[in-house]
Amino acid sequence: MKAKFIYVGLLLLGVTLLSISFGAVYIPIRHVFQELFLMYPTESHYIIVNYRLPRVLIGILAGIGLSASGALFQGVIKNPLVSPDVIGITKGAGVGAVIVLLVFPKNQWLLPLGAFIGAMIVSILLYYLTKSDGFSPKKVLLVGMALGIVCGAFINYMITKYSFDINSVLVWLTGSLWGSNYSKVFILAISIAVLLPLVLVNYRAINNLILGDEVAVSIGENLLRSRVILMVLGILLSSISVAYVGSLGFVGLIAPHIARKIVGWNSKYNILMSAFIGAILITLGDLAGRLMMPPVEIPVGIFAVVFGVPYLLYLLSDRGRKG
Amino acid sequence: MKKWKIVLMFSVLLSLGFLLSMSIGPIEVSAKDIYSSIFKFTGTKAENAVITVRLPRFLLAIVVGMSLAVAGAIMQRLTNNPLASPQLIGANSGAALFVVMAMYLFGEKDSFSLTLVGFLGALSGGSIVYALTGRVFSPIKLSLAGFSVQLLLSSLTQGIIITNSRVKDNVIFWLVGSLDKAKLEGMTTNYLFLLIVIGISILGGKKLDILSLGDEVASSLGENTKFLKILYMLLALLLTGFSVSLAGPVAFVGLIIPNIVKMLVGDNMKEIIIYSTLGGCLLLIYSDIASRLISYPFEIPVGITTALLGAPYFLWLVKRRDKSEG
Repeated sequence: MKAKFIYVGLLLLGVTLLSISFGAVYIPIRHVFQELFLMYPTESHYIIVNYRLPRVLIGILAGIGLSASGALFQGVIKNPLVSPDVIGITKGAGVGAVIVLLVFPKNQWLLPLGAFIGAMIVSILLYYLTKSDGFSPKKVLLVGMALGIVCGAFINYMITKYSFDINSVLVWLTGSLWGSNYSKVFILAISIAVLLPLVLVNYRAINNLILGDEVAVSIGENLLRSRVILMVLGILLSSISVAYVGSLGFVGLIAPHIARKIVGWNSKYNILMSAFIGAILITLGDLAGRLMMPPVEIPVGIFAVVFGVPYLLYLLSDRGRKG
Repeated sequence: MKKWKIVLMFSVLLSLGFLLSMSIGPIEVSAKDIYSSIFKFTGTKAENAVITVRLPRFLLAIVVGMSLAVAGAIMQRLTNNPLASPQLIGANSGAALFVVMAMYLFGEKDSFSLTLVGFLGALSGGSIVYALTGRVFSPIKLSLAGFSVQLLLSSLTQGIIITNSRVKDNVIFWLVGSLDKAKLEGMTTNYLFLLIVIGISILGGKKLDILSLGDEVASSLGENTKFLKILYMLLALLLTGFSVSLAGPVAFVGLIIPNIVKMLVGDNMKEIIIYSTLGGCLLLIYSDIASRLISYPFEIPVGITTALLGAPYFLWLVKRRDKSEG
């Protein structure tokens, strides 16, 4: 198990280095090494420190947040197709972001805050609407979807009403690492550093929930309490990530599946592995988006989808065969 | 409910809808203008507004409402699932993706070829969802697969729009589902085609009833169940592709109407389809009127209104179903 994590970690490191090195301006890998590991300033210092590094870091952190929360939700709701997108949280963040982008276009710094508030409002609604059913997975899922639809309608309303300035909105809604900086890295890093360990500590509860309600209760799991705690953690993780990179779909859905193929169902390993995989996926997608047709940047969200589609199909057909 | 009551109610609502939808808008139109624009056109401003904008729009609302509602009714019967609808089956977003692709690759072609493109899209979206759910259409599985596929297809559509910057607003408006592109010329083929497809569906209502008795009973009654199922699914997808290519993916009509109709008239499929056509066109006509009023004088796409109506309805449907299952 340890070896698997080391391999994946190395892969992440490699992808990170590549992503710093390639782009509109090529930076020799030698310089990247000198900058990162020897703290030795090279001629590429400015680009690396001010552009590439924060961008890669945001990608990694957001990947961790989205995928860990995806893995968590898939465990708690016991359905491998669930992700923060599906239960409306990402859409809620979208509402907040769209309001900031279109109504207060001069105050871009409000964007993460707006997105976060939007996600929280949807989450709170989700909480109260499903409370009476004891947060049954099925209810959370369907109510979340319906909330997502309402948010989607509102986003569409804003987009069509302010149709002269929709480009920034569309890019945000697709998910992009454009415009990363260190203050974003800082906040995101701290949040992840607090939230991820909290999730990992609760791995047993997730495992118990995966076994099914009856088994979980008979093992002594307090269903209601663990569901609430876990879902709150998952919502926080995903909404803070979405706040900074936009509504990046599919990463949170797919990374846990890849992780499951590597380390199996046990949440102890699965969540951490999902985090690694998510980070790799976003970094790779962003790199591809910058290289595809420079100087135009294709938002990483589009790659997430383009890679995600075939994988999802493969996944489901596989499941179908098994029964 | 008595049938003649339903028909009476429908006619009253339809006429009222017609008057409202002709008269609401930035240009003032009186009842006399409506009459004269249709029967003795003289070319005043008000008459032009009726003939070139409001009447085509009204007709489009009727057509799109009908086809989505019928598509929804058929899908719900075939899958035995009240949540099934063009949207949830993935047909709406598939059609939207294909139509947007076609518009970017070949420019805007005549509307009938776009209809066929829309059908192909609806077919692929539907097939993906079908492949994902397998043969069991449990509500939860269908909703999940449908929503994931929808997410996926609409992100692809968004990707195409972001990377190609021409005529963006137009497409966005259309993508939400809107009637504002309605026109009269060149629509005859489309409308005729639609009427034929709906006619076939109504005639086939009895077969759908037999199918819903279960595969074994149906085959023992001499029906080729597989063939029939595929045939009707194709009809439903055709209707979806058709309406999406004309008005964009208007949400929830195919979900709401057949469910309400079923409560009113019972389980006879032929009647469900007939009354769904009526309900579908009413829903769309009134949603269109509401869309013009909600943030007057600015007009919102009709798809937003139907989504705002549909989401709570979806929620309610889910809750009710849960109760009835115990």
